[in-house]
Order: sequence, then structure tokens, then C-alpha cells
Amino acid sequence: MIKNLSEKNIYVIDDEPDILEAVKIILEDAGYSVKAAQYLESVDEIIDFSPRLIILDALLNGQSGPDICILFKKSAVLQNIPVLLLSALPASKLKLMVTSCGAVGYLQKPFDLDTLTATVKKYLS
Amino acid sequence: MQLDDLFPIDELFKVHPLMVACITNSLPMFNSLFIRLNNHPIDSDKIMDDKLLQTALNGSAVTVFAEGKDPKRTIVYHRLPFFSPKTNLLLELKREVIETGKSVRREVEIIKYNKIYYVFLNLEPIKDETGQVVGVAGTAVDITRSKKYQGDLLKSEERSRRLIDSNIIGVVIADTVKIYEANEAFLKIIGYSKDDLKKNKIKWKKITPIEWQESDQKAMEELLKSGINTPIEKEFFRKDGSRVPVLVGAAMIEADPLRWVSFVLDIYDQKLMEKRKDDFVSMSSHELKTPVTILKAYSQILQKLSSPNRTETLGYLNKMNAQITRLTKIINDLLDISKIRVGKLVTVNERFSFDQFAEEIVNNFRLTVNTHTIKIIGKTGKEICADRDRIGQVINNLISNAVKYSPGKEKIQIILESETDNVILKVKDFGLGISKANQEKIFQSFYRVFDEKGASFPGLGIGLFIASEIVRLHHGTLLVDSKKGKGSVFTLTLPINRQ
Repeated sequence: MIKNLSEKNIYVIDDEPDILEAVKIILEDAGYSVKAAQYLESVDEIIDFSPRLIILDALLNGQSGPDICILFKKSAVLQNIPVLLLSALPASKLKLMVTSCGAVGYLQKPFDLDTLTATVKKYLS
Repeated sequence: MQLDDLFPIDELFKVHPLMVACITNSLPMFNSLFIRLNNHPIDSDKIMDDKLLQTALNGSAVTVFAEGKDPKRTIVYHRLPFFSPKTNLLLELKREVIETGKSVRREVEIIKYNKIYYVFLNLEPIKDETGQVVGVAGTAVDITRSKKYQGDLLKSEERSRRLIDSNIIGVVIADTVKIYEANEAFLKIIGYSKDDLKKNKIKWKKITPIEWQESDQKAMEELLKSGINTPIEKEFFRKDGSRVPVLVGAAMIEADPLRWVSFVLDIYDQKLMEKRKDDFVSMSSHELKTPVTILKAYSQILQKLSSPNRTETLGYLNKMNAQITRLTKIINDLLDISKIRVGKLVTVNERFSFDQFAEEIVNNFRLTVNTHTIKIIGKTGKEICADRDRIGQVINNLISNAVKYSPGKEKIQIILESETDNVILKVKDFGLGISKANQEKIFQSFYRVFDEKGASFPGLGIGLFIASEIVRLHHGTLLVDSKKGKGSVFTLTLPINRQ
């Protein structure tokens, strides 16, 4: 059963702990509640957190971001939660990934702090 | 010399009414003739008699059959001298005609002065009123030459065969539906056996994945039109269902019925290598950008955490940030160069308002550039279908160059114009300008302009090269017009609707 989605919850998955921490600092500073993970542990954990947005690294250690996104899109509970791909891959590749896995958009690394908050705001509105 | 002159045929007819001559010298192919005259009743015992073999020969026949005699004198009643052990065969043939009353057509080999002649003999029985064979009339066609051609042809066929059987490359002889012949190399590529081929189990349609059928069709049209087709890269289904990437070229052998020969090269290893290169570029991108991402994020976090009064600290952090941005751009440029090198620079198109886009870019510049004023003049009023990021990269490059190469000159103009099918953006500066000689070179990779004193401007010399590659991928043009000391105008023209 879907719990009440917290307006400010964002779930972030990135295999690089320093990036994960930076994203957490930036978004928490912007007033969001962030849960960060270095890889997909379990879908249930995400469902429990009931985020409004999932930020997903496209190239995780041993896991593929787009594959995880497709997994989310198959879940009745998660399929409507927007997924934002975060990656250092070239834009041309990311655009194709976004379309093929059902993500809402992408943010390229390295990113500007302001761009990150603006992009998050855009997909949460 | 006419045969009639040498061969008093009318008189011969008077001598014996049964004598028949096949005078066919007017037809070049019948270039020899012999006639057997026979005034004796046919008696098989006597056939072998020398007299029975008296034969008339014309000029060409003499060359083949007679020995060093003057053709004129050897025409009539010349006894056939045979030099070949196969002579007996000729005698046998004559005898056969006489005995059976049936004609004989056969190819024979005659050796004369160690030279081999090939002759096609056509021996016809000559019959009297009662139907009894009284003689033999014959033509002998010298086919030595065509035999030689045939030999050459065989040799040439042997060579082609050798080429096919060498199995260095897959060779297929086919039409649109059926494969008639294929060598081991081809069968190996697609994983079928000779037996499958014999049983007609290999069909183009079956082994060509659906997404390749269109390019196949195009290649076919080209083949029919010009007789050959430019080799194309495609895939085949192997028998086990897996796919194999190949390079295929074909040449028509016959138009009706249609037959062509295809040459098929397995490019699996090549493709694998390309993929590795591609992966390498992607991974370098990832590996180089991860530390930069972290640096950038924390320098910005520090900036945010610093108290606004600490202007010095903020200034230093700003410098760090600017350098990280610069490093990011260099990484991107180097990655673009590697992508161009392996032909992997691709565009992803979307539709957007060109004027609005140009304004966004210029606004961004206005935030960071305080040495120049950038003014937009005119508008296109059009939307274009293009790769927004990549075109942004081109315009950014042109404006950065304008800023960089016009120190001390404040004005930079961005001029927007449109044509029916194109949008035009010009970046005009009033700076150093580029000499004619350099104008051609600035779009080349790694080329950098030096001034008279040998001083150079910082940079890798790849910006304009990447820009012109991007423009080329969009089927547009990027041109420069410049006067040394007066400034430069870079004109970017992009088609509104690109296929």
C-alpha cells in the first residue's frame, strides 16, 4: 500500500560516496529530505521512504542505472515516481538512455549546485 | 584467292556426278574442306585402299593436312597425309560413315610438325540413286584457335575458382531469392553447411534481420543500376540464431537471368574493437569527470557555507570554480576529438526556437564576460530541428573566440538572419582578424594561430575543428570572413529541417 508521499523526500543512488554526500548536503540545504544509497539494496527500502523523486547514477558499480529504472517502472508503487539520471556520460548517450528506460530527464556531471537544485525543483513541481 | 579458282568444281562434277563438294569457304568458320571421290562401288575391304582416300583439299585444309606442298598443286586428288597417331581415328570415322550410312561429327586432334591442330570433322555419306553409300563428303573446321580460347577460359575459370576456394573472403553467387553457390568461407560466417546449401536451406530473407532489409534493398537498386554496389555493413543471422556483422559488396554477373557475386567479409573483430574504443571513450569520460564533479560540488558547497563577509575566501573559491569549469571544457573537447576520430560523434535532434536559444547563450555570456558587450541584431523567427547541446557548443565556441581574439575591442555582434530553408547566425568581432592564409587552416584540428611576433593565444586548437564537425553532421556550413586588424565574421548556416 502506498504511504503518503512526503513532499520533500528524494532518494539518491550513486556509487561514489563523495558525490552522494555532496548531493545530500546540497539538497538538504535546499530543504529536501534525502536518503542516499551507493547501490540498489532493495526496492522495498525505497518504497518505505516513499520519495517524490529518485536521482539515479547511470553507471553504478556493477549495476546499470537504466536497468534499475526499468525495474522501478515495473513496480506498481514506484512507476509514477520520476527518475532523474545523473551521469558523466555524453549527452547524446544520456538522451537515448532517458527515452529507453522511462526516466524523466538527466543531469550531467559535473553539475552546478544551482543547476542541481533547479532541475530537482523542476521535476518535483 | 578464291576457292573456285583452285577448285574447278564444275569440271569435277563432269568427271563424276556423285561427287559432292561442300564449298563453304565463303563462311569463315568453314575454313577447310576435303572431299573424297569415289568411283568404286563401296566395298569395306577396299575402303582402306589408298586410292579410296584420294581427297581434294582447299587451301586451309592443306595447311592442316598436307605436308609442305604448294596449295595450288595439292588441291585435287591429294592423298591425305596424317601425322598423328590419331590418323587412324580419322580413317575409322570415314569407314564408319561408309558402313553405317550415317554422318559423323567429331572433334579430332592432329599433330603436324609438333604443332597440335584441333579440327571439327563433319563427314556426310554420299549416296547413289539406290541409297548406297558411294563416297564421303566432309568439312573440317579448324578449331585450334577457339580451342585455345576455351583453354584460356578454363584457365581463367580456374583462377576464379582458386579465388573462391581460397576462402579468404566469403563468396556467394546468387539472385534475389536463391543462393546458387557459396564457398566455405561464407558458409563458415553464417554457420551453415554445404549440405544446407545443397538442400536450398539458405535464403536471403531468412538470414537477413528485418532492420537490414531496407539497406539491402538500396544496395540491390544500386547493383541493378550500375552493376556493382558500394560495400555495406550489415548483419546476418547465423544458423544458431546469433548475429554476425559483415561487410558485403556485390557485382552483377548476368542481368537476365539475374545473377550476382557477393563478397562477404566477417567484421566481428573489427566491430568488437570499435566497441572497445567507444567504451573506452565513455569510460574515460566517466573516470575523468568523477573527480571533477566532486571538486566542483565541494568548492560550491564551501562557497555557499562561507560567510558573505569573507570576500577574500569567496574570491579564491570563485577562481577554483572557474578553473574547474575550464578543466571540464578541456575534458569534453578531448573526448569529442576522440569521438570524431572513431566516427562516434552523434547528434540527437529536437525542435527548438533558434532566436530564443541564441538569446539564452548570449545571456549566459553576459553573466561571465565583463570585457565585451555582446549585442544581438535581427532575428530568424524560425524553429530548427537540431542537437541543441551541440549547436550550443558551436555558438559558445564562436563567441568565446570573438572575446578571446578581440582584446581591447568592446563590441561583439551576433547577427541573426534567415533564408527559406536555413537559419544564419553570424558572430562579428572587431579584433585581430585572421590572415587569408590562416583562414583555411583554423578549422583543422590542432591548428593554432600565431601572430607576427610568434606569440600565441592559449588553447588546444581543437575548438573550431569540433565546431565544424558538429556543423557538418547537421549538414550546415561554417565559414569565416576576416581582414587582418579589422576583425572577423564567422557565419553559421543551419538547415531548418534536417533529414
